[in-house]
Formats: sequence, structure tokens, C-alpha cells
Amino acid sequence: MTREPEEADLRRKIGPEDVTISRETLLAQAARAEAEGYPQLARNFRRAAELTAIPNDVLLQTYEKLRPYRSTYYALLALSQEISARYDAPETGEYIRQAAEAYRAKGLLAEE
Amino acid sequence: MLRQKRFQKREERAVNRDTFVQEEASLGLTVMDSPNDPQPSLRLEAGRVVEIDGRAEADFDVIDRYIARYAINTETAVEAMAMDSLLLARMLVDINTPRKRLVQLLSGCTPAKLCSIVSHLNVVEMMMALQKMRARRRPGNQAHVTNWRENPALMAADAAEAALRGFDELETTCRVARMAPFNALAILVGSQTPRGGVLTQCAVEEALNLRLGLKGLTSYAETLSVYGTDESMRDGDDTPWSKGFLASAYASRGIKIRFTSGTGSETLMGWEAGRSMLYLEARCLMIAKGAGAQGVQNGSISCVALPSALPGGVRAILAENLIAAALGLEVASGNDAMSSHSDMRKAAKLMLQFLPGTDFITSGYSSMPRKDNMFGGGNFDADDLDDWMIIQRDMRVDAGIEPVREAEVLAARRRGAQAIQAVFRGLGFPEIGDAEVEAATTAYASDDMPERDLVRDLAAADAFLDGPLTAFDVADALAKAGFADIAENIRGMQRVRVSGDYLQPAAILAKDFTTESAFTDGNDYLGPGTGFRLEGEAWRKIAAIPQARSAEEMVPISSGKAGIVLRERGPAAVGTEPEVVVALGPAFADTLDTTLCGLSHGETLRAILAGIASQGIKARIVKVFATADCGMIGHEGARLSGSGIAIGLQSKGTAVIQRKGLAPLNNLELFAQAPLLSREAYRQIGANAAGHALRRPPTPVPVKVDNMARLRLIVHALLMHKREVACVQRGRAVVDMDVIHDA
Repeated sequence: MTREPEEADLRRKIGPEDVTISRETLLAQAARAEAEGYPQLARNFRRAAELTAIPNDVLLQTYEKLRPYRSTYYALLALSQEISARYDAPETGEYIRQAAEAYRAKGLLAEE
Repeated sequence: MLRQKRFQKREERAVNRDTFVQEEASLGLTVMDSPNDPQPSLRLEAGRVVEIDGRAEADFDVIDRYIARYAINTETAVEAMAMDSLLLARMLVDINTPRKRLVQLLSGCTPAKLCSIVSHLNVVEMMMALQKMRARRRPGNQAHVTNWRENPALMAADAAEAALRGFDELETTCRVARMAPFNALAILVGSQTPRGGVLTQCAVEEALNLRLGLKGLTSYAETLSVYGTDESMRDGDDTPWSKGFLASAYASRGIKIRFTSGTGSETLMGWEAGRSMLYLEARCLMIAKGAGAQGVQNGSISCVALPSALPGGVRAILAENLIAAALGLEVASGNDAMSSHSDMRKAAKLMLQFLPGTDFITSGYSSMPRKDNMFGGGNFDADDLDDWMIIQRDMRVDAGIEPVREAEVLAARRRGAQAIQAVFRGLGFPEIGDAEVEAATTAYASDDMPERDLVRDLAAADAFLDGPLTAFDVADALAKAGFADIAENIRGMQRVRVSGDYLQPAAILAKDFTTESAFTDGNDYLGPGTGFRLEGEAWRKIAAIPQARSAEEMVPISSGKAGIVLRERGPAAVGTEPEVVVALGPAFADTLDTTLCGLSHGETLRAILAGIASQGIKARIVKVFATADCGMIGHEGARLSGSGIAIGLQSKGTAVIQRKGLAPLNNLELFAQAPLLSREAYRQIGANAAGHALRRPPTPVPVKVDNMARLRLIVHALLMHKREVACVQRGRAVVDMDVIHDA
């Protein structure tokens, strides 16, 4: 017995790709938060706006690299530059660079 | 050893199974104001924070660095840190200082400053402050939905019921981690069954959590735990930076998050460094704030038994909720993990959040019985729901759960279970049988569910997680099986991600998917007459618990069968021979016919007459019309009695033995507990009255003592007495009555 994949595909008017939040929307939410007196929330939304460009697997890998003892100082600096340049994500890049400095100062880096 | 028996008895009380420990700051066993806590201080250089709470930049730990760089609002820091903590504490309570002003000021404070502010407040002041500082105008609530067997039909049914009851968020987790995709799926489908817009999450390891969100199976996460020392943060395998990144990662996919923290976690992990629990919690809250989290769940959460073991612990837990709210964060305020063996102690603690209202009164009300709670307990569970509803009604407070009718619950549960059955069938997952759907509809707990093949379920869950299917395929399967509304709600849950409105503080969704948040519906409390007021339809709903009945339907106050007929003979004169007068209330065997304990008036009167006759003395029956008061009825009877002794009998059964010459409200014997008077008791009342008349020493009437009788029957008694009062004819004289026994 055959199923009806064609019909199901036609009926599916929207899919996951259609309900993705956009960079612009997150920037607008950031502006809203800033106006309401929530600068930290706004900063988070601006980083999130940048992260919309980053594929799921890279997102999960980046989180993993930021966990304690996972990365060397230079690996984090490289990650910061790559995220910043490749995905047009300067705020996230700077955030990772700050992590690199803190991890180096406080011994949270991977062994070289 | 010599024992006092009351001490021995009290030792058996539930509260004495709780643990209590004395303060010991060196072990971290202190909730607030540890001698090891630093004094508040802050120094800025060119807009950069270079000192926090006595520690210079060069000595900053990881958390200090994070707080200094991201959390402290430097524009208000100088002003706020210069203000007296007592003044700031008073501003928190002051109804003339708006929430927004306080959020600005407190966002410029250091952790030690925040602690010094709240330590000026007693619990009532903290509650007043929390009422004002809560982010969203209307309080909400979250439910836990899990079951030990991880049966998807039961989980969907429980989720459907929780959504029907008005929970704004549902959280599940797993006994077996690999079940996560199915558990997330089951509560998604169940939650969208009675209404759209209920947010759902599945608490599992971060990477898996994010994957579930990406599939559209969950809409929020609150697993982002932070701790107040570097060492405990490290043991949690994270840093403030990694958690902050995760917060942005979720937001980039349109998923709401909140952080998790709570007093006692660092002490339990052994890394509190002698600091007070609240000081470390203040640091956690500033990490959350610095990361840009919209909110937190705090209130000690799973560590609650530890601060609760210490003096002032429950106050400290309220203080941490308050600090979070005062930093502008959404607060899901704990009350989820077991906090005491004692129901009284648990309820008392609950009131600290329940009465002022928080964004989520509990960060997980166990919507199923405790044994099915996979979060390790459930401070309040399915068995406690009626207590919760009734306390809301008592206090006129909306604590986020609505009363529901059993028939509605059965319908919602069945439909939720049928919907997940259709999804499993449509997506080729292991069959959910009709018997499972029926069992889930009526189940008390997962014991009532048929066994499933766990191995097959796990294999299918793995394939679902790794495969291409998403929430849209779930919606398609539902639509195809005739559940168009649920399908549309699940699609709606995906669409809300596009606008990102529900990423804003304290956001929940109405059934039309519009957002209610601190920005759209912010708390505007400024004293009486402002802020959230439980009124109109919302109050009517809370008041309408199914247990409450109308006065008319409440008591069959007359059965229609008095078992006796009385006929008026004529005006009653003062008697001259030995007799006991039985004086009846005006409604007796007329508009009333049964006593509170359910004896017919015929049975009651015959028992009294038999008692009197047993002592060899005559009885005379009269009816008093001028009063409904038991003492006055007896007083009238005694005035007319040849022996001077009368029994006064109200129609609800309350009786008194009276002697002529005593003041109306004095008496020889009063039997005030009508519900406890049996036929035998009335017989002895008759015999005793006769004894008084014959000047024989009376033997006491054995009356049962039930201190709960008044509690149970007070409304019944009131309604019967109202009817007796309605029969009163002021000025009408007492009448002799003839008794005609009914067949």
C-alpha cells in the first residue's frame, strides 16, 4: 500500500524554516528591551541576532568550546575571530574574547 | 528518663521528621548575614567597575569579572551604592516609589549591597515589596508533568488537564534520558489540547534540550543553572560565559529561557567558602542579569530543605525571590521540591509567594501524584489541588490554578490521549491502544496504565530525535486524524517564535497566542486600588469551586416527613401538678421536620416523652411562637411547668433543661451540639428533666464530643435556624399541643 507523500508535502504550507526568528526581529526586540531599561537583555538579543546566521551544529559546538577546560586561549581567540568575521557577529566575537581573557586569568583553559 | 507525655506525642508529629541545624558560618550553614560576607563596596574608574564588595579588580574571580563587565548598571551604580541600604529597603516597601525606579537603582548595586537592603525587611515587608516588584501584572503558575512509566498517553492526558486548569507553563523530564523526545512530544500535544499557547519544556542535558527546541517540541528552557562561586560553577561544568552564550543561542532560535539558581546549592556542593547562602544567590542573580536572561527560577528549588533547616531560612528564600524581582527578572518562585514533612509548615512557607503573587508561584506544581513525579518529589501534588483552590477562594487570591469540573477534566484527558495516539499512529511510532487512552483518561497514577514495550519506545524516540520529523509533522498527523484545532495550536506555538515577543521578561501566551509580559502587561502596583486585582469574571471563576453549593441545594432542610402531627389545643396555662413541659420551637413539625443529626421530629419527641415517662411523671407539650432562641423557649416552658422544669427543644434539635426562676440564658443542662444527639440521648434528656422535676440527683446525659461537628454543619444549622426564625410570631402566646402520631 502506498502512502501519499505528495499530498502531505503540498499540504505543508509552512515548515520550520518559515518560523525562524530573523536577525532584524531580534534587533528590534533588543531595541525594545533597551527602551524599557533592560540593557543586559538587549545585549543578549543583539548577540542572538548575530547567532541567527550560525548553523545549529556550529552553535552547539561553540557552546561546548566555551565550557571549562575545553579550549586553549588561542583556540578561543580563533573562535572569536571566526564567529565575528564569518557570521558578521562582532558582539558575540567580543563576548568570546572576554571569555578567553577570563579563562586565561582564572585557569579555565584546556591544557596546551 | 522521665518523659512528659505531651512531648512524647509531639515527637511523632510530621514536623519533627524535618531536620533542624544550628547556624555554623564556617560550614556555610547560615542563610543571611554571615560574618564572612563582604561589606558592600563599588569603585568605578572611567566607567569601568574596578572594585566589588571589597575586592579589587586584580583579585576578581570569574564571577566578579562577569558581574563587573556585564551585570552592574554603571549609570545608576554611584547613586545607588551611595544610598543608605535602609532607605532603599523602605523604598521597596513604599507604595509611592514605582517598580521601575527600584529596578534602575538595584541594578546598580553589588551582591553584598542587595543583601544588606533586603536584610532590613521582615517577611511581611518582603511580601509587600514582592507584590510591587513582580514583573508581570497577573501572577501565573507552572506545572510538572511526568510519570514513572513514561507512558505517553498518560503524559498527554496529564498535560491536557494541567492546561485546562490554567497553568501557563508545563515542564516535563525523563526517568530514562532517551525518552526525552517522546515526553516533550506528549506534553506538547496534551498542552495544546484544551487551549493554545501553553508553553512547554523538557528538562534534560543542555545540548539535547536545545535540539528538542529546534525540532519545535519545546518552547522554553529553564535548565541554565548557575552557582555563586567559581568552584561550584566549574563543578556544574559551565562558566558564566558558557551559560550566557547558551542564553543567546536559545534566543537566536526564538526559544524563551530562564536561569536557575537558589540558596544552598553552593553549600551542598562544598564550595560556599563560608559565605551566606543569600550572598551567593545574589551573585547568581547578577550572573543571570549580566547574561541578559529575562528571568530565573529561584527560591532554593531542589536545595530547599537546607536553608529550611536553618533559622530564618524560609525568610531567606523569600528574600532571594525578592532580589530577583528587584533586578527586573521574571521569577518562578520555587515551591516545587519537598520542603517539609508538615502540611502546616509547607502551607505557611507557600503563603510567602502565594499571597504577594509571583510570575510563577511554583516552578513546578506536581500535576500528578507524588510517586509519578520524576523531579524527585513535588511539594504540592494532584492530591493537594482542592486545598490550593480553596485557599485561593479564602484569600481572594489568584495563585495561577483554576477550579475545574470532573466532567471537563475527563473530556480534556481523553482528547489529549486520543491526540497523542493519533500522532503515534500517523508518524509510525509504537501503537498506543484504545485501552491505554481509556486508562489515561481515568488514571490516578501510572500504576493504572498498561505496560508498554519500553525497548521499542526508546528505539522509536531515538529515531525521532535523529530523523527529520518536527513539530510540523506532528501538526500534520493531528490534522489528518481530525484534530484540526490541536494541529493549529501546535503550529501557533511555532509561529510565536517569529516575532520573539515571548522572549521578553515574564512572557506567557494567551489562548490566542498574544503575549502577556512585563512590557505589555507590566506590574503597575502602587498600593491599594492599583496593580492586579482579582475581580469580575476572574474572581467569579476562582470563587466557583465545585464544592460550593447554593444554600437551597445544600441541605434538604425538611424531608417532608416529620413522623408526627401536632395540633393546637389552646392557650397554655401555668401547670399545677408535677409535670415536665416540653417546649417546642415555632417551626417544629411544621416548616421543619428533621433535626441536624437526621432524626425526624416524631422520633425525637417520642424519645423525650419515653424518657420522661420512664421516671413516672407526666409530660405536657407546648409550642413557643414568640422566640426561636433555645434558652428562651426553655425559659417559657419552665415558667408554665407545674414542677418548674421544662425541656426547650429547637427544631434543629438543640435542647436545654430549664428551671423556673433561672435567667433565660442560664440553665440546668444544655445540649448545644444537636448533630451529636442520638435517639438515646434525647431519651436520657427526658429522663434527666424528669429527675430534676422529682428532685432526684440526675445522671449526666452521655453526649458524644466531636469538635468538628460545628465546622461540618455550621451552614446547615444556620439555614435551619433561619427557617425557625421565619416562623416566629412576636407577642403570640404559648399554646398547648396535642400529639397525633403519624402511621
